[in-house]
Amino acid sequence: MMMALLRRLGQTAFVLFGISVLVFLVFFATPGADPTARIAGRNASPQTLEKVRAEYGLDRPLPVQYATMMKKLFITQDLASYADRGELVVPEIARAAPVTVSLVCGAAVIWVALSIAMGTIAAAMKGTWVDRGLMILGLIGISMPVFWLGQVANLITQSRYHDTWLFSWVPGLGYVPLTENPWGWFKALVIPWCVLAVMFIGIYSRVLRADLVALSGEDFMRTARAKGLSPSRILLRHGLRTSLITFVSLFGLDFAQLVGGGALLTEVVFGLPGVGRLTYQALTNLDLPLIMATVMYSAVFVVLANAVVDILYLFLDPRVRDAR
Amino acid sequence: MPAEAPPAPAAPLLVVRDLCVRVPSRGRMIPLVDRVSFTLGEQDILGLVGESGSGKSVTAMALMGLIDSPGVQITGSALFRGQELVGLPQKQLRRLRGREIAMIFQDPMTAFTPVYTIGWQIDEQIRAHERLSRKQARNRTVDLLAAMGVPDPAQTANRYPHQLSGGLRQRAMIAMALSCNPALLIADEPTTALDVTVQAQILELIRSLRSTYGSSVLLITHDMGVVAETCDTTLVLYSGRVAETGPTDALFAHPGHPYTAALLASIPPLEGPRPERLPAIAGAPPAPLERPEGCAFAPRCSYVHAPCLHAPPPPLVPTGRYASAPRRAEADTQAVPLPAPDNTPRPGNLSHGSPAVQARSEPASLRAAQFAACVLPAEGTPLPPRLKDTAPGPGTPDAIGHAPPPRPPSPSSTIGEPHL
Amino acid sequence: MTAEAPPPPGLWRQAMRSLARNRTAMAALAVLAVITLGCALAPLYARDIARTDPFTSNVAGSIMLDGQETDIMQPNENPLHLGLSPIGPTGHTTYLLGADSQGRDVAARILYGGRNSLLISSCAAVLCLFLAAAAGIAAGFFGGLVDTVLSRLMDIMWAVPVYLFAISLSIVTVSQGLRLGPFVVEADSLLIPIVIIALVYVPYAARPIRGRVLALRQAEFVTAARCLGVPRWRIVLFDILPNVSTTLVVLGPLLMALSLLAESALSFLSIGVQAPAASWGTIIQDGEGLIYTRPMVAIAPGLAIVLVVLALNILGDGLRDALDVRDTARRPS
Repeated sequence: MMMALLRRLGQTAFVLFGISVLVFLVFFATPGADPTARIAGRNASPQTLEKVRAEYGLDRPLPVQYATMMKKLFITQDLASYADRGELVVPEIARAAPVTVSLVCGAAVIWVALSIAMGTIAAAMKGTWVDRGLMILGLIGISMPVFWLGQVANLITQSRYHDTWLFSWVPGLGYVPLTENPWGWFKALVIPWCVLAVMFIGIYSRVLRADLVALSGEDFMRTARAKGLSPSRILLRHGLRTSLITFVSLFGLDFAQLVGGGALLTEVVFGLPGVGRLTYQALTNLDLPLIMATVMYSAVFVVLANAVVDILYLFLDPRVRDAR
Repeated sequence: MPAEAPPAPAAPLLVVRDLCVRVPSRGRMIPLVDRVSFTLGEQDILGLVGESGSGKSVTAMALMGLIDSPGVQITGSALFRGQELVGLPQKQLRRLRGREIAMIFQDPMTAFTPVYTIGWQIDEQIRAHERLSRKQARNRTVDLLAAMGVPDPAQTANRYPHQLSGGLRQRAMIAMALSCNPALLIADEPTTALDVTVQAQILELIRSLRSTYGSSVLLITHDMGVVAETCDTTLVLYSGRVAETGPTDALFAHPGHPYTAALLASIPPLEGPRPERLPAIAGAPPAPLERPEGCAFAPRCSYVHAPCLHAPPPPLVPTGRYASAPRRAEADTQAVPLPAPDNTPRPGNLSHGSPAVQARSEPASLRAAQFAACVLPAEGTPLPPRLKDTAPGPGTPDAIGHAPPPRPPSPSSTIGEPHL
Repeated sequence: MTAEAPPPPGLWRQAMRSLARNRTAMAALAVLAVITLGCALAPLYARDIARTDPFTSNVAGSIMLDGQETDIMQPNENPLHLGLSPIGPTGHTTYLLGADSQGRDVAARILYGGRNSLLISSCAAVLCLFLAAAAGIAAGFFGGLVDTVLSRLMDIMWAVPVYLFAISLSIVTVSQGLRLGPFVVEADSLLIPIVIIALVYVPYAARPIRGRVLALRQAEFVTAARCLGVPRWRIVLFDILPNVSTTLVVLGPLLMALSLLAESALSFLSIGVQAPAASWGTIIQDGEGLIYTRPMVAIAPGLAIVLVVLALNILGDGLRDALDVRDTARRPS
């Protein structure tokens, strides 16, 4: 067990290092243009360019540049945006993070609950029209671009049907901090939660159904039936519990990616000032330091979250616990 | 048919009549199990033998009501203590499963849910059928595991399936099956996935169940050695149909059906000179879809003749010397070891070794005679060996006095060419 | 591992026959064909049916509707008639779905945009499959160091959220294009989104391929070929590749669906297809500002995306069932 944890830790460190190198290379070593100009932003003066070159050590070899960059990101945390008048990047991300976490957590609750319900019901009623209907719904959910769905949701709840009883409670776009007004926080986020969850409900319910159906042919499911257990107990305690192993590993990956900035499109459409929208603003201003920082931080977050999932896995699956 | 056999003194536990299982395929109904009938008495062990695909497992699954593939059609009758199992609603079947009829499976590796401890899974079955607290259930679990010869049962109950060896897992499986004291235990190839030494231990355990737990056992296997060692009665299935049925010792001594004979001939003799080559049955059993029109064994049969190919599958007819005589006479004369059942390391432990077994098999011997779907070359005449140099194992039948004239070639008209 | 022969030549024909019996998959295929054909005929539609030029701004123009001359930019319906909105759906062949904020025919733009969207997504899917097959086969077949290096690289790429990775790649190329020695790719070239999207999804496709190859490497017919002294490249070409091809075929439509979604997202963020060229994503972005007044501008291209992605997913499922491939991975977020 200890060995497994240590090994996982080593792997995590390696992937972290690899990601930082990859992101660094993307920004600093893509053939084509000079990173100086990109960092300095549009229409930068020669003095600014000179300053950037000195600050990032861009006239020195790549490994030195890498070290400088990492130092500015994680140790001194004084990476500053040029496009945005010297705003420090790291605190900006720290301010945006709670918004993203609020958005993703709420969506996660919805998508886990609904997808487990849909997947299990579909598997239990395999071959019936309920099964087919649920799976087609899931497929449609997977097929919708999230930013478009967000716009349609806005159109319905903010404009077309806003005056009916159904949606009159929906506040205008934007975010209300949880600490300020929990009810307002909730109201502001319900629609974004649902929109973000739709695609994942589709994916997860389909994956879960396929898993459960595949499991139903397994020997241990036959044993459970031969034991005289009720069908619901067989499906839930034996089938679902075993499927949860895959489910949790998928969930960990997706959750981490979303918190790490994957919810960008939803945040943009609903005007939520999270990490994703920060990236989007940086994108429109061509604010390279900010994008570098968000990408790097999100990658770090994803890797750490993956490590957590793997440890969770050890608890969920007794076989893995002993295998390593 | 066994149905017409003289009535048994006690009501049999399970009476199966004309059980058919058909599945739809390409617009036709394909029989996987075709008119199978047998009777299983209290505390009896019945062996269901056949190659893979012969319908043994399907028969067992049908009895348990565990077949749920779409469109499947199960007909016939299976009376368990007077209750009809065929067509019984799932809800009532569920009450029987695990409590009255329990099943153990071939592969103990995969038969336990991997994410729960062994103890949890046995507790679950107990609590599904009886109102017991967790603690009481666990106590019984530990007792059962101990009775099955699991070392340190309390500890083992807290271990996960993958942490146990195959033999221990099979013992745990049997403990789980017995946890509600079922009247009938269906064992589907319980030893196939195990080492030979562990196999012997598990068989010993199964044999002892009827005295300690009073259970009847339906033992499904493809291993003639296992049958000889364990079962009172044997039913040979071929391609979904009964080829032959009868008391194990009689059937082994005087196989009536060419298939049974061929199966027995392919077991290496335990004593005497080894044959240069073991005879094997050429070819493979037909897939249910490709079953020939006549006798399903015809393409592989050494004694095939023209009518076999087209006539409808023959009905069961009494056979052997005991077709009419009571079996007791035979039981007395039978003093010789059976034809070489195989790879078990302890020939002394054959079912005839123990007087207790012999006594118990008495009701069965009164009831059952030997029946076969085909007796060749002529009824009552012992079979000629299939190949020249493969005389049956030493001491096979002669002690009874009906020594077959060794290898008389049958009239050419009745012997088909050996199938390639 | 059981021995597994290379797929018999009849496998494909049999799979296609079983696919042809799958009515849902056939309907999906028909939808794809109709949409592709429609997009291919975009210039015809613009010239002969809509009679507009969907690429030039037409803010001051007017059209004839039911014999009346109608302005394309019309006063808003608020009481003071402040501001102008583009014309809504007309129900006529011209400006069928209305105009966007620059007075361009949305219906014609959707057809033109579909050309780019479909072109980018299909090229990206093919390129991605090619790269993933190369990486997956190399990692699975050669094992050892090659496998370790490639798998770690995939792990690393996998850890960056797909869209962020694509954004990072886009932002460094979108302003100045890409210069690789003698090759210069202009910033507005469609090649840039194609390459970016293909790269981003390589880990997603390479994993199942590697798994398949790993299983095949243990298969008896490969061992037999090795024992016979068949050179490695021949084994890869004639034993491994035909067996992996089913996985590739099944992954194809699914990857194209993913690529289409990614392309529209990048274009929506204005780092995909660059103006004046259109794609479904850029049209949705054009429609964002008009969402409350002229929702059709954003809804119509979105519906087109949903329809195509849905059809591709159904087709992928159908192919998977027909070819009996089980181990395709899930999509990343």
